Formats: sequence, structure tokens, C-alpha cells
Amino acid sequence: MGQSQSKMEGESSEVHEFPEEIIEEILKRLPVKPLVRFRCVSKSWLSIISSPVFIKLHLDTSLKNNTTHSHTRLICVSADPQNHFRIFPLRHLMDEEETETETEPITSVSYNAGYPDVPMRIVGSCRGMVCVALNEEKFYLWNPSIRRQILLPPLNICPEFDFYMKDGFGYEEFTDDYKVVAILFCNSRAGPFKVKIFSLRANAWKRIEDFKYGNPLDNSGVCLNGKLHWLVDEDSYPGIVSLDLLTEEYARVGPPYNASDNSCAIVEYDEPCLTLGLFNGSLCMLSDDHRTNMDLWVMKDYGVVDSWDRVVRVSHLGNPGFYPHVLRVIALDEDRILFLYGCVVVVYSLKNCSYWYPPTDSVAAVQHADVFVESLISPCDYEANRM
Amino acid sequence: MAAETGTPTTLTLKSNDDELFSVAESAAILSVTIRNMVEDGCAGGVIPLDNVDGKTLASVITYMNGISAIPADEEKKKSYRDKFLSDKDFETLADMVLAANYLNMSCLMDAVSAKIAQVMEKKSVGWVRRKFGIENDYTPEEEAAVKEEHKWTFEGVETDDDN
Repeated sequence: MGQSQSKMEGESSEVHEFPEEIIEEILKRLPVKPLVRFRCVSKSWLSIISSPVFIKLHLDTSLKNNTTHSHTRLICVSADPQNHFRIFPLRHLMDEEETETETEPITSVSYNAGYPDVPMRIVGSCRGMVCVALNEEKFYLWNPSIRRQILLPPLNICPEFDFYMKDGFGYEEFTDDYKVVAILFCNSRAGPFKVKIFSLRANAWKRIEDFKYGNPLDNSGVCLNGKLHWLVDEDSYPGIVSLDLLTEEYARVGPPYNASDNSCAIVEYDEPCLTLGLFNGSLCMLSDDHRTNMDLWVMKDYGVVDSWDRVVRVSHLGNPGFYPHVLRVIALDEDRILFLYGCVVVVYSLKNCSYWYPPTDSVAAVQHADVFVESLISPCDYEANRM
Repeated sequence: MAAETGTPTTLTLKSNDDELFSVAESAAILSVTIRNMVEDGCAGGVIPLDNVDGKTLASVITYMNGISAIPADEEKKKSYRDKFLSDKDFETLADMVLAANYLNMSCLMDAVSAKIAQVMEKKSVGWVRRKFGIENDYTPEEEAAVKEEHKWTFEGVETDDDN
């Protein structure tokens, strides 16, 4: 072992001189945990691993090399008395043979002081960061992979009777900024509704143009292509409204429709429950008739109404819990699709038309779940680098 | 070039310890460094590779021949790379990553870097310092402070075997 011929004489026949670019080539492929540990190797390694350029390179490499979901983590709000967040490698839900599910309850967001019974809600996840919220009062940006989080400044809304909030979390690439959007929604009025947007770079909320596209149905918008998307009910007709996180402009995205009569294609049940979500990086919609079937629609080309396609009709997956729900659908491989639908976490096999519920101890009593990709990105760094 | 005339051209590569290797030009030009030399017409005689020793060059040529014999099928190429690297120890991998960098062979570079990362994943900080020849320039207090920030990343580290 280690008998490689030395180029130099003497002691260090095994020691190689690695140029920094090769060190980076190797480090960018490491998972987060060893990378954070290797900050201790030397000051120059600390400086490589902490540099914003490397952190971005590492995340982009993980996203590119994530075809087997090895960098994806599932985050669940569990319904245990402490309302823990639980985080698992997604791969642990993929293998039915897997016996050891690595349950790692994370409690690093201290949220339940004074509200022991109120669970946190996952607003969304984007580019390595997760946004969670407690009621309408507190938003946190959190990177569970490095266990760093910040509490956002207060939203400062005037409490009104019958007021509640719709929100969303996303990433805007051009300004490299994470944004949280809050729509101040009032049941007793038809709108327009006040909207505030938080920028992590600015570390501040500001008010933008009101939301006047009907009643948003989802609790949290779905982030795709630098835009947040909400399912809306406009005069009892379902629609999708997007908000561009850079230009702060709203736009409509057409739902699936019947070419024959231009009616909405998903309203073929009496009262289907619709949920907007993400399917492998595309906008998707689940139409649930609460009894027998669920249809998964996917907008294959973003913004092209004709590209909506009913990908699969599955028999009813189970009761997702309180409406509205978080919906994430992930094709694990050619056969299996993972549905995160409210409190339902289930793997569906296209070949056998059968379900597999992952081990109950790992996802017991989930309230809802989302996925995120491991990264070194820290919400604290954005604060520190604020201009 | 070879493809135009139909006769396979063979190149002669020379390692920094003066070993000579014959390799088909079609396989050798996986290295952008070699391809540039061929295109510039500098490949007439012997191509000297001053940064690669004979043992490593032999291994790289095995890889060049193996991978270029596989038709355009990413799956098959990937499983060839995995198998090719599976029994290599850290020192060999280190030699290969330096050679791949010098020869500008991106596919080998990617595969070897990924393999080294996989080997390092559960290793200790001390192991990494030894293998990469890095001197610890922290004071004990500084190192303890950096460690303290993310103590949880030191759980589940393998005991050093130094293989």
C-alpha cells in the first residue's frame, strides 16, 4: 500500500501537493456534514469552505448530481407533543428493505415557547433553505443541513377580525435573494388584499401591489422559476396566479382546460379538491374527489397551457388532513412516485398500481412534509453581507 | 487525422520517469492536453508528459483504452468508471486526479474527484491532514473554537485506519 514512486527523495513519498482548484473539485462533491467538519483541517480549508463562491458551487454541483436524490432530504412536521421537525435522507424512504431509518429530530428552531400545542408550518423550501412559520407572527429562515436559522423581523400587520394569511417562500436568482411573501387575506372581504414581501438581502418587509385575483386557496405558494404560484378561486372558477419575485408583477397561468368547450378539465367531479404543487421541477396539480380517484396533472412546459398533461390517475391515497395541503410529488425512478400530500406520505408504484407506506416510526403522525436539498448556505451570511 | 485516412494512428507517450507507452490516437485525445499537441502537429515523435509518472500513466492509458472502447452509452461508461476505480487506494487516486488535471481529462477528473470525496466522507480531520499533506496552522484554541461551532459534524467519524 502507498508504494507510489516518489518524485522527490526522502520522507514524504505519499504526500501529494494538491493545487487549490483540485481541492475544490473534490470538496464540492462532499456531503454537508464532512465538509463542515473539514473546516477544522486548516485555515485555508476553512476559507475555501466558507467562501460564497464555493458554497454556490457546492449547491449547484449537488443539484446537478442529484439524479438519485442522494442530496435530497425530507422534512416533516410531526404531530408528537413537541411538534418536532424530523429530517430524513429521501433515500431512506426509497428502499423498502431499509430497516434502519435514521430519525433525527431537530429542534433547533425554538418556536413553542408559549404555544406548546401550535405546530409550526413549513412555508416552503428553495435552494437549500427552508422557511417555517408559527401562526401569522413569526417566520424563520432555516438551513437544517448546517443547523442555522434566523427569525425574520416582525410583519407588523394590524390585527383585524377574520384576518388570516396566505404566504410563500422562494428564491430569486438574479439578485441571489430569498424572499417571503405574505398575502393579508380577509374572509369577509372579496379583496383586493394587502401584500408584503420580505427580502433576505434587505432584511426588511415592504408592501407591494395588492393581490386582486380572487381568493388564494393554498396556504403557501409554490416557487418555480423565480415566481410564486397560488391556486385561486375567481368567481368559483379555479385559476393560478404567479408573482414574479424580481419584478413583483402578477400574472395568470392557465389551468388545464378542455379544448372542446374551453372548460376547466379538472372540474369533472362534483367538487374536486385541488392542490397546486411541484412535480420534479414542474408545476403540478392534484385533483382529489375525496372518494375514489386522484388525478395528477403536470404542466410540462412552464407557462404553456396546452402542455398540461394528466400524468396518472391513482386510487385515493388517503385523507390528507386539514385543507389546504402541501403537495410535493417526486419521481423516485421510472416506476415509483413519492407523494407528499398533506399528512399522507406514500410511494406509488406505476407498474403494480400499488402503494407503499414508509415505515411508520420514521414518518409517524406527520402533519405535513416538504423536501430540500442539502447545502452550506446560511441565512446568517446573507444578513452579514447585507449592503 | 486518423479518422480521415482510415489508418489508426498510434502515439508514443513518455512519462517523467522515462517509460514509453503506445496508445491509439483516438483514445489518447480524450486528454485535451494531448489533443492540442496532436492538432498543433507536435505529436510526430514522442510526447513527453512531465507531470505523470509511469505507474500512473499506465493506469490512465488503461482507462483511455477501456472507456473509448465503449460506445456512446452513459450508463455503461459510468459502470466502467466505477469498476475501474473501485480497488484503487487513496495514493493511487491522488496520483490519478493530478494526472487527470494535467492531461485535462474532464471525465476522469470528475470520476476520480467523486471517488476521493466518497473515501473522505467518514474520515477524521487528522486523516485528511495526513493524506493531503496539510499542516495544521490553527492554534489549539482556534481549532477548538471552529470545532465547537459545529460539534455535531464530528459524530459518526470512522477510526483512522490509514489505508
